[in-house]
This record gives sequence, structure tokens and C-alpha cells, in this order.
Amino acid sequence: MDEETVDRLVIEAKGGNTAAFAGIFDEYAAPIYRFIASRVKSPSDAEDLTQLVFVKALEALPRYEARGIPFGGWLFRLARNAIIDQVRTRRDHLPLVTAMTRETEEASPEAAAALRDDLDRVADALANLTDDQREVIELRFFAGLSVDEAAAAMGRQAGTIRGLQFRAIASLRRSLGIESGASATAPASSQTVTVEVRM
Amino acid sequence: MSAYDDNDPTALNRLEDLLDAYCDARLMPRGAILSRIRATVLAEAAASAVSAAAATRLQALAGSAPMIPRWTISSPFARRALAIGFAASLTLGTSLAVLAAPPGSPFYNARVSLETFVLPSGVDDRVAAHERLLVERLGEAQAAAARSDPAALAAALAAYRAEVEAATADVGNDAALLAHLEEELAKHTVVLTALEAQLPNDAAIDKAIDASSKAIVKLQARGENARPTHPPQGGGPGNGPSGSGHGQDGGE
Repeated sequence: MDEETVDRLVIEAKGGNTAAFAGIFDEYAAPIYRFIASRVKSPSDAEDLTQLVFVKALEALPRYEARGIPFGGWLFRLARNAIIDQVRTRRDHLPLVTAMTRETEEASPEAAAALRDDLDRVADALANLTDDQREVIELRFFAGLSVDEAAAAMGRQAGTIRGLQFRAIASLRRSLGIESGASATAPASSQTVTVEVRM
Repeated sequence: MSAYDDNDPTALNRLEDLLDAYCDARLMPRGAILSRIRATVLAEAAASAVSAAAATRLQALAGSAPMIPRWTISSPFARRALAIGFAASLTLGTSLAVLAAPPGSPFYNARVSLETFVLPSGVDDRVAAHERLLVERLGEAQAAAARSDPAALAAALAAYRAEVEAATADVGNDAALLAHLEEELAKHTVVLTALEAQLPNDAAIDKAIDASSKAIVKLQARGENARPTHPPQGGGPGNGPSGSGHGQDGGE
């Protein structure tokens, strides 16, 4: 969905159009969920927080004014604040490494074990990032936000986001041992979903 | 070239594949999670839209309603004066409504009672007032018949009959007064008979004629024993014709 369409839906949703708000939900629910899931302990927490984010968005929508801030960035800022509030309240936030494990059920036991190893290494590599670097990866790769949207969500400049992303990628490659000229073979998952990253 | 060349597309693709696999395996919503969230959120959105629409309508209604000035009277004296003024206005208004009540109106009986209540106490004046009221009731009956208002006609004639009874009772034994009232009632009978010709099926007219005729008979009977207490001055009580008629003749 292009920005123009999103903006139109936002205007209509502000006017009380439930169908328009449904369009917004359908566009952003999965990315919001992935972003939240990457930062909380359990799927049920991710579900509760995703719901909370959209309810808060519904309440705050009449006050939303674009003013150069992409709607996606505004929405993810709500999600970010909801996560921060939840972590503050519950104090049981676990690092991403142990967040959720849901490997494919279709792979053979050997392939599943290999995939689990790969994913654990990714989780470890993410855990080694700084908080800001990890958040940029979560927003850019898991949620699929553009640089501007990620910048709006984190309240940073776009240049800062690019710098954080650059350093995060370098750190991840080192942690995962992906050297230049490495094989681009996909990991053992049979259900890989490519998340579109808006550069 | 460094082992970690930042611009190596193959290495970046490998990393991206790993992150995608991680995202898919550990972060993607499964089953009906998003459907559940969607149902809850959209129900909330629908409720919110309904509330907002209702609020807008209320606001519009409030905006279109005329502004009612709200003012208070701080002084107790002014409040009392206002209350007295209001009560006086109410009394005056009600009184005017009663005094002007036509036959058939809710206040007509009150008006008739009031007129009867304020009759003068002296016999001559009282009988003259009765005669005036009888003429008035008869006029009201004629007007009601003219505008085909049976309710008003019935009310006026009922009041007429009551007035006939009251006049007959109040006239006493003065021969001149008896004769004058008898003469008046005879005239009324003529008028009522004419009305009956217009409205042959109207029971109220029949009753009025009957009441008037019986009163005449009573007055004649009483006149036979009447005593000429004083000669009528200037044509009997009120402005009627001379009262030296039937009663005195009958008594001789």
C-alpha cells in the first residue's frame, strides 16, 4: 500500500470510517505484531500489546497530524511506547534470544535441529547488538519500515537510523560469521517469509 | 577487501535470509491471532464511531436550539415582588377569562355563578339584575343557535333556566315586580318559540320554554295575592315597561 493510500485511509478513519480503519489495521497489524513479538516474552503478550496499540491508535487518531511524520512511524512509536510501558510494569522482559521458539513442523528432525541452531545464533547475534541497533533491525527488517518511518518511530533523524543500521549489520555479520563471498543459501526453514525492507 | 565488506551483496543477502527465517519462525503471528485482534479492534472502532456520531448530533441539536437566557434574582425582596406580581397577573388573567367566558367554555359556569353571587341585595335592583341576566342568557342562546353551536346553546339555556328560577325566587310578593318579571318572561317565551321553530329537535329550547311558562304561571298565581307595596318608578324595575299590568289586574 502506497503512502497516498495510507494517508487517504487515515483521513477517512479520522472521520469515523470503520472500514478505513480496518484497512489501516490490515496494512500494519502483522508488522506491528512482529515488532512487538521481537521484544516481549510470549505470543500472548504480543497479542495483547498489538491489540492495545491499535486501540490506542483509534483513540489518538483524531489528534494525529501528518506534519511530515509518516503514519507508519507514528503507529510504531505507539507500539514502542506500549512495549516500554509493559516492560516497566511487569519487569519480566526477556531478551530476544529466548523470546519465542516456533520452528517449522514440516522439517525433518535433522533439518529442524539445524534450523534451531541457525535461529539461536541469530538470536544471540541480535542480543549482542546495542539497544538502538537492535531496535533499528527490528523496525527495518522485522516490521519492514522505511528509514523515515523507523526514524519517526524512534524519534531520531533518518541519518542516525542509517548509521545504526550500518553498524548493526556489520555486527550481525561478524557474530554470524557471514564473510564476504559467503554462500547465500537460505537456512533450513521451509516456511521462510521475506519481509520487504523499504530502503 | 575485508572479510566483512560492507557492500558485498551476497553477504547481505545471506544475512537477510537469516533474519527472514528468524522472523518467520519466531515472530510471525500464527493461527487466528490477527483475526482475534482485528475483531476486537474493529468492534471498538465501530463503537467509537457510533459515539462520535451521537455526540456530533447532540452538538448540532444544542447549536440549533434557541438560547434560553438564564438570569437570577439575587434580592429576596425582588423575588417576593416578582412572585406577588406573577400571582396577581395569574389572578387577573383568570378573572378576565372567567368574565369573558362564552357559553360552552370551561369558565362559563364559573362566570354565571359569579354574576349570580354579585347580585345586589335590594329586591328591586336584584330583580332588575335578574331580568338583565335573563336577557343576556337569551342573547347568548340566540347567538349560539345562529352559529350552530349546540353545546353553547345548551349551556346558555341551562343558565337561562337557572336564572328564571332565581328570579322567580327573588321577586317576592311585590305586585309590580311580579307583573314586570311575568311580562319579561312572556317576551322571552316568544323568542324561545322562534328559536324552537329554527331548531325543532333541540331539547334545551323546549326545557327553557317549559321553565319560562311554568314561571309565568307561578308569577301569575303569586300575583293574585300580591300586595302593591309601591308603584313602579319609571316603568318598573330596571328599564322595563310599566309594571302595572297583569298582576294588579289579577288582584282586583
